[in-house]
Amino acid sequence: MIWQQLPQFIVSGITSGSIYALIALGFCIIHNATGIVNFAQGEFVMLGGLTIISLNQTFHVPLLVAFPLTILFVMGIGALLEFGPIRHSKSKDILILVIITIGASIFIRGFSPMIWGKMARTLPPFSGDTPILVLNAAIMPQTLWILGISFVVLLCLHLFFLKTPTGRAMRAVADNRMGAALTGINVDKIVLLSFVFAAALGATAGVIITPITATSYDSGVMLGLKGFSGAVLGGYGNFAGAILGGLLLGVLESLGAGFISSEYKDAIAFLILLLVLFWKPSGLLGKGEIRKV
Amino acid sequence: MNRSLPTKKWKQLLSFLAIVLLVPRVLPSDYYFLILNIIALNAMVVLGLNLLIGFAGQISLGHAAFYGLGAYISGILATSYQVPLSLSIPVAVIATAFIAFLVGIPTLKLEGHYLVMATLGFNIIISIILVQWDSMTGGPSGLAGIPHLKLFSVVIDTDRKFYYLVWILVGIFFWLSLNLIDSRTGRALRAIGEDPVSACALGIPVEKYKVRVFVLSAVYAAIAGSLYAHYVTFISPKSFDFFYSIEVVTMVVVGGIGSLWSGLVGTAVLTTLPEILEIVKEYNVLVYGAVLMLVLVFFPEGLFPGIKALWKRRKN
Amino acid sequence: MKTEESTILEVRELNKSFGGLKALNDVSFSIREGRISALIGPNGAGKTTLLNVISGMEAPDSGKIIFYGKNMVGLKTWQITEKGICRTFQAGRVFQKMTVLENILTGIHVRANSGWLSGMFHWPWERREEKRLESRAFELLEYFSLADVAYELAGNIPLISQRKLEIARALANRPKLLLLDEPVAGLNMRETEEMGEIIKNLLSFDVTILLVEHDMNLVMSLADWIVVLQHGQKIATGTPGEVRNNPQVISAYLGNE
Repeated sequence: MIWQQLPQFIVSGITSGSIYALIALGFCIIHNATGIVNFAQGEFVMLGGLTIISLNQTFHVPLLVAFPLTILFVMGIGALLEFGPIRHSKSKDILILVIITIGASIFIRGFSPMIWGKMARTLPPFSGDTPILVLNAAIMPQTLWILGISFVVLLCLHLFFLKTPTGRAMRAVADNRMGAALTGINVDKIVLLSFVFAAALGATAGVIITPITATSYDSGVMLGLKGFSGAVLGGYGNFAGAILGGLLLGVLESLGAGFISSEYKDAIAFLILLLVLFWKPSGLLGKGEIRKV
Repeated sequence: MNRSLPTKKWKQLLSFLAIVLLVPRVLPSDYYFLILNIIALNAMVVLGLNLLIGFAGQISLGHAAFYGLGAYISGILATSYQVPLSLSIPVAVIATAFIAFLVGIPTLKLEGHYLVMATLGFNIIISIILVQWDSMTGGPSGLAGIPHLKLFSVVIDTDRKFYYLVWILVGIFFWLSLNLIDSRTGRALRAIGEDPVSACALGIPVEKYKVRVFVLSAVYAAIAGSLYAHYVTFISPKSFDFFYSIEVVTMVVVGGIGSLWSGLVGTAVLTTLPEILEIVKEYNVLVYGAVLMLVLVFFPEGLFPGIKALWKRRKN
Repeated sequence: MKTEESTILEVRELNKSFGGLKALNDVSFSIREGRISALIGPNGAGKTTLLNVISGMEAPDSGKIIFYGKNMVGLKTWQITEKGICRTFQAGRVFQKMTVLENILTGIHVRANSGWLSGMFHWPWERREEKRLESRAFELLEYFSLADVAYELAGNIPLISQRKLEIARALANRPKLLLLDEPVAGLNMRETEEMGEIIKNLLSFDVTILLVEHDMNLVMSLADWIVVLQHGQKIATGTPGEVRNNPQVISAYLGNE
């Protein structure tokens, strides 16, 4: 009976949902600091995946070292993006900046095959691939890594924003950019940090998902878009919303693929997106009107 | 624009026509007609999109879907159902317009990135349907055997013949669009693009007009799509994914938002760029992305207006 | 045949809250046709909210707005404009990227007819209508002494001209009731005087005016009748003489300024 597969669908849904949640947070952080949608977010995920594959598989760097190195590398790319085109853009118009991130996304996608080629690559799972049976679901150990690492990342992020001065400064900028600047906060630095954080989140997602789904030069696109959908679903601009939305999107997508149709699986995520946008664009946890006139 | 100087518009259109008619004489080979034809088709989509983005101030990253619907609906009707083109093309355009209308009503209530994402999401859904509904569309391997266009018993089966047809159509579309901008409706659209609150306070039904200009731009794209299908006689879903949507929006922005002729320049540049870069094949995507970023960072008002401004400064 | 005494607008028990803040508290008053009425009150009194509600930009929590016998609450802003109420905005909002002439023509939008197809094809009757609209627009421009900048971009003309343009544009609408939102904010003394003269003479356009202003001298010299708000409540109505001497009004202003 298909219902017996429900726990399986939910587990796989939460797994992909964690990835979407991390990506959604990346969108959220940049949006809160700058107001723009970073179309290159998905590429951070892709870079994370491919970089760790190179470090670990080609150069035999142990995972424990490769992981942080990868994150640092992609953070550097994120910094470059902000430091270069975004900061130097003559126009601060949001549409222009968004299209610049589109250009960056295309650029990175053009750059990556030169290093890694076009074939999909993968990483062996962190601790083997013997599934663990819980209820009716076969849980891959990698899934536990994904859930665990995501949780740790989220916890660290939460503490960072709550306790550290920089974190509070970032929240201030998100709340009221002008006001924050007036109190002496260096908004430029915050913007740079937001790109760096978003890159780190994306790269983390890329690293932990790679053992399950292979990574190639263009695998970032869909992930980025779905992550964005998750952010919108939960309430764009809202951290808790990004997490909730990402997880929910993953589960709904998985259930839809299982019970309705697996060919149209990708369409489901976007159908959900459209439905949310049409009915309550502020998302599940968001408040306020996005519709005008 | 001042109506008592209609000559500016006519001068532009006549020069355009002159160039269109003269170009074939200077082309070294017929190969160039292919790229010129693709520029024309893109230009049609970009024209409609410019009305939406440049004048009414609404962004869409989903116009590839309308291009694709125009192509596929007419293509399928003509191949699987043997519908004559004089019927299949209008049906395709009307059907696409209707879909644009239905999607437009909830979508155009959104703003900013919500609007962007809704149109993008719509595009992706259409792309997936085009791939998955293979019994109707031929799936990822595409739809072949689409009949050529026929105009007064002349079959448009060469690049050269299509060149004249499509560029004259582009001229007509330009004429219609230039007219529209300089009319009551055009002013209302420009008002909406600049300040929707004021526009509404002046009695302009902003929501209705947004949907209508969206549908109009979809019609332009659908017509271009049908022409495309009957030109290349083989279409596949890959041509209509959201990358194409991004490309045409980029053409509008790089050309210069709000200027129709600049949009044509942007279209020509960005359509030929990948062709030129084909020579250095590995690098073409990379360079496209770099060019996009560079133009937008340094010439956000668009390449054409940006160069004009530089030129003026040089003169002083 | 209208009498000077007929009521053109009746505001009935309007209530509006934002979160916990009550911006309008049971506000009721009537505006007589053919006169200049003014809405005054200290900062935060609710004048802007009231204007927004009348023009349909905000929906009241309860209450009615009766205009020529019909309730305007629930209608969209553009519908209200179609029915004859037009407003200007504080700090002016002319279309900077359009010419002065085009701004006026956009104002006439509601009173013209050509649609999308006519716009694209420029049929003869559309061209005739455009000519008619242009001559009407020029009449307005000449009245406001803006005819010589007709083809300038509205963003490039001086501030006082932009303010005049905004009023002209609203008038192009042929409204029955014109809501002026702080038309002299940011203008110097001479410009304020000029604006005052213009507003006084607007009645010749067969329009009733409701003026929201801070400048007391202007209000006292222009208005036939005044409504005073404080903390979202109407505290007084009457002629300038009556309001000027009303103890509640005096304390409201002295207390808050």
